[in-house]
Amino acid sequence: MIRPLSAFLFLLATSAWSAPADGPKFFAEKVYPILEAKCFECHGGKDKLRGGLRLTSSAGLRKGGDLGSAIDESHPENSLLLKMIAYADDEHQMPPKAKLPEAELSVLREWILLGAPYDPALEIAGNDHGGFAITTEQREHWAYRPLTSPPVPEKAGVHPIDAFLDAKLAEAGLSRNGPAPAEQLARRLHYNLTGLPPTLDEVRAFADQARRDGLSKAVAAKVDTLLASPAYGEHWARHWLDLVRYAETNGFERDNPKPHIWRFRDYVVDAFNADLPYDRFVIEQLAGDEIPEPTQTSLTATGFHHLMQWDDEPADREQHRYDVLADNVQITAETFLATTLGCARCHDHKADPISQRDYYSFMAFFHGVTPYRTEGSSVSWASAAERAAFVQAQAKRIADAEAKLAALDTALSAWLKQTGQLATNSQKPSIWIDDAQGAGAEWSYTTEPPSPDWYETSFRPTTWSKGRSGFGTPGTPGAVVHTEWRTKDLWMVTSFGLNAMPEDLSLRLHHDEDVEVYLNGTEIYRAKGYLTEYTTIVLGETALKALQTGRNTLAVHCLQRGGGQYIDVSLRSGDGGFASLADAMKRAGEGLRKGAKQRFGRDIVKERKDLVAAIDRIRKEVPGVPLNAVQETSANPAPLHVHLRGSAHALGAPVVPGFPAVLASLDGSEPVPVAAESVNRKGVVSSGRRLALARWIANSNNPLTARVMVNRIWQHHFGRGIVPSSNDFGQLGESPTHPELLDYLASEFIATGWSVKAMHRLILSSAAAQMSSAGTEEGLARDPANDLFWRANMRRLTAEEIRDSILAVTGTLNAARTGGPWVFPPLPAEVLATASRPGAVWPVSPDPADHVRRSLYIHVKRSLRHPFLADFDQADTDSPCAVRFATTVPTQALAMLNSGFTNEQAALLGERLRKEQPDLAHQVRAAFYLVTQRDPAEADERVATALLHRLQTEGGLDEKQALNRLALLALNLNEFVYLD
Amino acid sequence: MNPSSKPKGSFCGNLRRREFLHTAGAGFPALALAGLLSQDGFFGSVNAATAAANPLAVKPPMIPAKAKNVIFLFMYGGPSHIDTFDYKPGMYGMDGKTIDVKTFGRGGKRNQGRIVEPKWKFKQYGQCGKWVSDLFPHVGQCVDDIAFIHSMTADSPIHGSALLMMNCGSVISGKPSLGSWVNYGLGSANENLPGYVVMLDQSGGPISGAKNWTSGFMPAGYQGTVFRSHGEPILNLSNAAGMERTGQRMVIDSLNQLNQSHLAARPDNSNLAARIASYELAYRMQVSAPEAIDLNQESEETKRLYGIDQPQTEDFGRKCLLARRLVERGVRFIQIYSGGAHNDDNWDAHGDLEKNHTHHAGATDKAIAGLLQDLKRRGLLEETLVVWGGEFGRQPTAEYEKGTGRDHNAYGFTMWMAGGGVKGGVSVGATDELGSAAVENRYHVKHLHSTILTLLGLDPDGLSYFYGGLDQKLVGVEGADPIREVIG
Repeated sequence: MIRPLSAFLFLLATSAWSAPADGPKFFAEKVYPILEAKCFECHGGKDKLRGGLRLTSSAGLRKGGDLGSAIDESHPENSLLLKMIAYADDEHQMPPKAKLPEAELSVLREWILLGAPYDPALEIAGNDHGGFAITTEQREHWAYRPLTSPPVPEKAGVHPIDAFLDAKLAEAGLSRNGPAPAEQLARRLHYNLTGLPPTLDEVRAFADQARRDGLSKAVAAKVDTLLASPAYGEHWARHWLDLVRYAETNGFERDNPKPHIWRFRDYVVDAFNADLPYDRFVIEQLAGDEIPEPTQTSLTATGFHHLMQWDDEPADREQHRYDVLADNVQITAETFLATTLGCARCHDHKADPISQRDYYSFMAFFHGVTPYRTEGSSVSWASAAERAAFVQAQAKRIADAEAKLAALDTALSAWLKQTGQLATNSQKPSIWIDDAQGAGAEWSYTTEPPSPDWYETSFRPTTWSKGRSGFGTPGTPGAVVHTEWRTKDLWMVTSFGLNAMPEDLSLRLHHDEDVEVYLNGTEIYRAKGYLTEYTTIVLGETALKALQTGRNTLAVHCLQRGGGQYIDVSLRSGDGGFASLADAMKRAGEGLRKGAKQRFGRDIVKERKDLVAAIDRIRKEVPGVPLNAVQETSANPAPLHVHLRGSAHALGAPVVPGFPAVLASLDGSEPVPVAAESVNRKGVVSSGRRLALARWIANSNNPLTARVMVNRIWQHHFGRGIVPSSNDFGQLGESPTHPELLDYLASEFIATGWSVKAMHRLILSSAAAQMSSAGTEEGLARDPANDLFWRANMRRLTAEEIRDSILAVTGTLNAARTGGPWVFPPLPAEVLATASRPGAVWPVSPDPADHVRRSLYIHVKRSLRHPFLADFDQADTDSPCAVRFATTVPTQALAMLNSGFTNEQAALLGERLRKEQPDLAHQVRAAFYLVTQRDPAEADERVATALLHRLQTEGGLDEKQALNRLALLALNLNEFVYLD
Repeated sequence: MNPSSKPKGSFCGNLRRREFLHTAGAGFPALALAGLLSQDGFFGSVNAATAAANPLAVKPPMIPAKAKNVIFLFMYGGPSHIDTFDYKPGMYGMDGKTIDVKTFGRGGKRNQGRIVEPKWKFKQYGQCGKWVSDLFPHVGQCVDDIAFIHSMTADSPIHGSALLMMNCGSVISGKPSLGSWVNYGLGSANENLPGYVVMLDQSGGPISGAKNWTSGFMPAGYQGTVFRSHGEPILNLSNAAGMERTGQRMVIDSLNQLNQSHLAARPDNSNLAARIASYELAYRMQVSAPEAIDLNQESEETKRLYGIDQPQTEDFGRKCLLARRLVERGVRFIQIYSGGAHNDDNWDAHGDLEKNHTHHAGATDKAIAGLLQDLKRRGLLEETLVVWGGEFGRQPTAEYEKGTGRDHNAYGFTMWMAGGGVKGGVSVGATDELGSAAVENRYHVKHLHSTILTLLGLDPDGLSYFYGGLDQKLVGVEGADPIREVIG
């Protein structure tokens, strides 16, 4: 169809410059000046080449840039370059600064239609890189080579780990440090395995056993005890949560919580405590819903895919969907494979052998995942029998509650009528969306099934029809029809602005039949069946929480199976006087409440309110445990294409799921495609792609998986990984300092059934793990960075360890309470003031016992970080953190000396000292050993006693205050926050 | 590993990237500890074996610098460009007319709308004859020092993502903010004060709170510090109740003694020494920060210049004067928010444009002009770059059926810069006759960032931080050119 037209255009164009010989001249005189002035700065390639496109040569033009050839040789009128300069759409606009004037546009158009001839004399060729190919050197990069089982250097009676390390030390003429003092070692083991300090008694018992039975036996026993403690899982879960940038809110304007996501945190804690085999741990997180027999646990694990930031109102929905997917792709590749794929999203990876096709083939494994929603795509776990029993019980509970409500209503109505309180109509209601009995409202509506996110705030019903409410068939009882609706389903959306938050909220509605109502993406009402007249529904707290100042969206779906359709919804507050009982109850002021109390002898208004809320709650209950888990809805996800320049709007070649070539192929440079087996079980349809990926990762043949995990375990015992860049095993990362040791550990890991606890035991039974951290002249001279592990690395405690330890040594830590929903300890007002909703952002937990729980359980809110934890380098919530920073900045000193938290804790420690110790001398000693778990030296005691004296004589403090200061000092000791 | 495969941005040809040193648990002592920490490289001496050089030490600029400091006046919510600095004479008399125009705001994409004509009159100011609306009569007096960029565009017209874009260069969070990049590139000139200070509105923070001044994947030492203009300027700066300064000194002295004896057995661990020193720095910061906010040292005339004597301008004026004082004390990057929280607490004029903008311009105009004049007369303007603007502008049409409220507009808006090597009396780029979209010399937020970095002597395409397998840059991997027309 296009051909004749193109031929016509071509004729038109060539009429002016008919002879090809004129081409170069035309280029030189007319075209070149435009290109030079408007295009070469970015596409001339002197300093840089934007978008990979070179316009200074014919070859460059024809080869094109990231978006493909700039010219279409067979249909010049379709050339990309023409589309670009014509500003065809948001994605195609060149030059970016401003559209070319019409005269210049027509010259370029004419030139392209001529076939874009160049004048060879004016051409400047570049040396642009060619296609993607993996070099032999890249293929033989250490991390991609198959795992080997290197022979352990032979040395009788020496632990294999020590043998590997000693071999290298000997080459450098160094020797390993002897064992650390038992007191230091006890602290190191306690912190590295549980993140908490030992007690002085535990340290002493350990030292005694070491003297009695030898250090190895004492360590083995200690390790067993600590690995069996629930605190072990809590501590090691935190390492894992850093990698997967665990957070409990979505970020952006509303920064809504991710419902139930704390169950994922508990899953990780439990997995470490139960020593879940690591291969299983990988598979459950990636594909716990696709495995043959999913369990509540395995579904919870898939919360892994829901931890990322998510914008409920993105400017570009399509792009954001892929930004989110890309985030998850990055986390998957870095966490399990220590491979940084991110850079291949826009271009072939410049240094690592990962192509853009590799990248999108990898992304395709995740393409079937249902996009995230405000409510977190909650899945609820229950067996069929449980489900049936639940539904029955729920119906009964609702019926019971409604019967009670009816009795109350009868009594209240009679009383209201009797006392004449229903007569007045003193107050004007606020009506944001009126119903058809009033002014009505304009809605966007459709009768075609809309996109699944139709009720989200981000959804814009641009293609829907518009109509005034109510919608339905004339003649339906009680209906006021302005817009006819005769089909089965109706979806409608409208929005309104709100300046101030109301105190109450109600729906006035009429529906025939089933209706569901969403406010800003949150379901606020759902009912089956039909009504015959307008009814007011007082909405509960869920609805009030969903309401926001600014723009609000109300979305309604009505389903009518048999005709006689009608739907009309109004949203309002302070509804029109005591027109009805419901209105009176909703706006029940002090007077009415007191009156009712007098009449009935109890707070009947509150009773009724509670009952209404209870019914609301029961209706919303679903059987089983609600989970924030991943779902797919189809065996065949939509096709995925390469996104040129990373733009979801610039599609390149289609891709299928596949493994990166360098990891999965012996010689090719193309991704290795995978035919995933789709899952089709009762109620569950899924592509099976993530399971295919998970099984490839959690496989002893994968060269990376075991190496990556043992390196992480090593890192948290030795202060750095054998590969220091533990999230980057690629060519831009660092090389292993002990490659044979790494392979030995990885092989052992697989051989013991991927047991993390067995790996701890193996590592901690080595003499290397028990070394002292003391410097030696030789070691400091030859290997100051300790690359050869001749001594233990000292480390500062992490943010969580510092806070938890303070609570532990003052005796206030609530370590017994484990798991469950996140908690909100109080925060300073100055920190709350940095939030855009200072009063609403951090509802302090009502139970003070929750304020002193381990830091792991503190709510992780993207836009508001706990100041003390943030000060001490807590991991960022948006990027994976494989190695914590350990910064030293003055604001930390300020927090340790001056914050309300440390001063309250110091006072508690002072209290503890006074209570437990008979006299000042004992109190001073205890201040030291409670914090450092060692008896103080005489000199230490002298300093402390002198301080107490000075504070009282020169500082004007009493004995109690002075002791509290000493307690504060103890919490500030370097020895407290640094481990040997 | 092949060293030639290392992209530029790795430091000093060292075996390990600076970034890896931090992540290898080697610490980040943000202190200049002459005599304690060796400055001669990472592996140069035994004592510095595990310590990186002070990451906030002053570094020479990468390219010739014109500015040393930045004061970013963030008009949160999105001020309307056509009611402030982008004069559209053709719109007067069109009020209420329905026209075809492409817009994209929180209400979605539209192709038609009812014009709300600019609600203020414009006058010409200065030698350059710049048209400025009656909302900014005082800033009008300064136009000969200002370069206006009328053709700004951004990726998002939604507050959350647009704020992240303007502050961190991406609509996705997790990237370091502009102030972090500046401190990373240049270091901090005063170790007794934070190098990157953020002052928030009294009504609250902006949407996303601390994400707007985060250091992202860089160490926390580069993040912005929230600074209050009243009371305790920095969190935990004041002593706890009942703690006298002398008493605190006694505690620190004893702490030092005990820490020194702990250090004596571990003399090679410079992190321990750094931590001892950090208590001294904190102790000094407790004096220097309150001194910095003590406006009693300023003359009445100066305070009047900033409008501190008037209730309406007192708050923003105080913050602007504080900004000058912080610049004098070497603070590298200062951001002041006009507006906080939601809706009309900031420039987000969806309902009553006149009421909203009268309020926010009224609270800032005098103060901003005072800042420019004061910086100039003290010779500080030459080296201090002042940036003004919001995360986007506003539409020429009404958002609702009734009223003057305008929805967001990222297709075209105005930002301005003054001082710090910027040409004065210059206007660059243009929107169409309605101000609905930039059409001439269009610039993206990335170009603004590129310009700010360039003026500070940082090469926008070269300033990078290795993270996630990539040399991350504020302006993105593709890079972005500075707006040369505004650079003097």
